[in-house]
Amino acid sequence: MSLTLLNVIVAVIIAIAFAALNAAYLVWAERRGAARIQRRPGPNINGPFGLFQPPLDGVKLMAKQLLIPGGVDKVLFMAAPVLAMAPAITSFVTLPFSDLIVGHNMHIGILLIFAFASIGGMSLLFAGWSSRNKYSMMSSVRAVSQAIAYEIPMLITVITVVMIAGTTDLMGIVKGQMGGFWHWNIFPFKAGLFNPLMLMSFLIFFTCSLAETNRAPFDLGEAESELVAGFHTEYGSMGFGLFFMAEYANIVIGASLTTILFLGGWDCPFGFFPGVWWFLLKIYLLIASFIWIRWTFPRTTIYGLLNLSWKILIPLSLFNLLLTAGLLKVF
Amino acid sequence: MTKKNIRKGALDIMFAEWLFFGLAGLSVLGAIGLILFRHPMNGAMSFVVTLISLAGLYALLSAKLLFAVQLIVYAGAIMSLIIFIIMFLNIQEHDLPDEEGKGLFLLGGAVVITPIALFLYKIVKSLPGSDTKIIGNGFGDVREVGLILFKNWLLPFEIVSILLLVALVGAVVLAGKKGVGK
Repeated sequence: MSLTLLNVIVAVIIAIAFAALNAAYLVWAERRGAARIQRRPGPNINGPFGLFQPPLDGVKLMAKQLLIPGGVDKVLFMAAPVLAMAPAITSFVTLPFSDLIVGHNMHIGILLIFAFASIGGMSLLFAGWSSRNKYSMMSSVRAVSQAIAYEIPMLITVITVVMIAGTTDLMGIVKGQMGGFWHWNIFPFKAGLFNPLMLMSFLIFFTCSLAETNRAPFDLGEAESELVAGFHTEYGSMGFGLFFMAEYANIVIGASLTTILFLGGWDCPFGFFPGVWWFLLKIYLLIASFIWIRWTFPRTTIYGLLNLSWKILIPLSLFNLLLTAGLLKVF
Repeated sequence: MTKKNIRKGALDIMFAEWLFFGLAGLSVLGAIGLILFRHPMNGAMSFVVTLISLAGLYALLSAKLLFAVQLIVYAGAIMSLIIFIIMFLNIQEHDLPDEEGKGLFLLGGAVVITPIALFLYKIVKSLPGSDTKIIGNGFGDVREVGLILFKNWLLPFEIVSILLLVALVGAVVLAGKKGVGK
C-alpha cells in the first residue's frame, strides 16, 4: 500500500506542478499572442520577452488580502474556487502523456475525466449563486446551460471514437492509432474503416472543447461588456487566481483529450521516435490555435451559441455515431 | 504468503475501512443537511455531498463504471439542473416559511424513530455476515457491465429507456403552448 500511495502522491504533486506551470505560462502566451494579433508589444518589461511576468503576477495575487464581501454565502463562496481547481488537477492523473509517463492508467480513464469535468462545472454555479450579485448569477446560469448543451455532442463524439477503438482506456485509444499519421482517428483511412466524417467529428470535438472551457468566441459566461466579469466578479486575490488557473488547466486537458482521441497521442506523424515530445508539440499547437481563435473571432450571442449546439452539433454528431456504427458492422 | 504481505493486506483493509466509515459518515451528514437546512440551495449543496460520497462507496466496492456514471449523471448533470432551477426561482430569506415548532418536531420525530432504529439495528446484527472476497480485475468495468446489460437484462433495459422517452414526451406536452391548434 505504501508504495502505491507514494506513487499516487508523487503523481498528484507532478500533476499540480504541471497544471500550475502551464496555467502561469499560458497566461503569458495568451497575452503575448493577443498583443501580437493586436499589433502591440504585450508584457515585455520583466525578464527576456517578459518571461518573469507570471511569477510576479502570482506573488501579487497571493500577497493580496482575501476579501469576502458582506452578504455572500461564506461556505459556498470559499468552496467554489477550490471546487474549480481540484477536479482540473485530478484529471491530469489519468491522462497518458506517453506510454511511460502516466499517473495512473485506468480502464475508464475517459469517463473519469468527464466525471471530474462535471464537478468543475458545478463550481461556476456555486460561485455565481453565492456571490449574491445579479451579474454573477446570470453569468453562472449562462455558463451552466452552455456546459450542459455542449457536453452532449462532445460525449456523443467520444462514443464514436470509443466504438472505433473498442476501449475506454485512454492509453488503449492511443495505441490503436500508432504507426504514422494515416492511422490517426482524424483521417478516414483508419484500418479498413473508411468513415468520411471523422474530420467533422474532430471539428465538433474541438468546438465543444472551446465552449466547455469558456473560451472566446463562446465565453458568454464572462462577457465583460454585459456581465462585468461574470461569475468571478466578487473574487479577488487567490480566489480569482484559482479560477484563472482552473480555466487554463481545463484548456490543457481539452487539448490533451483532442490529441489523444484524434491526433494519435504521442505517436509521431512519420512513424519514428514516438514519445512525449510529440504529445507536447501537438497539445501546444492546439492551445496556440485556441489563443489564435480567441483573439480573431468576436463573441457570439447566447442564443446563437445554444442554437449551434442543439440544432447543428447534436444532430450532426448523432448522424456520425449512426454512420460509424453502421460502418463498423459492415467492414 | 509471507508475513510482510499479510501485514500489507491488513493495512489495505484497514485503510479501506477508514475510507468506508469516512464516506458513509459524509453521506449520512449530507442527507441530514438536506433535511435540516432552511434554504433549498444549502439543502441541494449537502445533497451533492451525499451523492459524491456514494460515488466513493461504489469505488470502494470496485464498481468503477458505476462510480464514474454516478459522478457524471447525478453529481454533474442532475444536480446542476436542480441547482439551476433553484437559482431561477430566486428564493430570498423572507420567502422561506417560518419553522416555529422545529425543536418540538425534532423531539417528537426522535421519540418515534428511536425504537425503529433500535429494531433495525437488531435485525442487521442478526443477519449472517459474509467475508469480503477479492474479485477479479474485470469486475465493474465497462465491458463486463455492458455485456451483462445487453445479454441478461436487455428487455428491462429497453423498457426503462422507453419509460424515459415517455417521461420526455410528457414533459414536452405539459410544457407546450396551451390551446394552440384547437
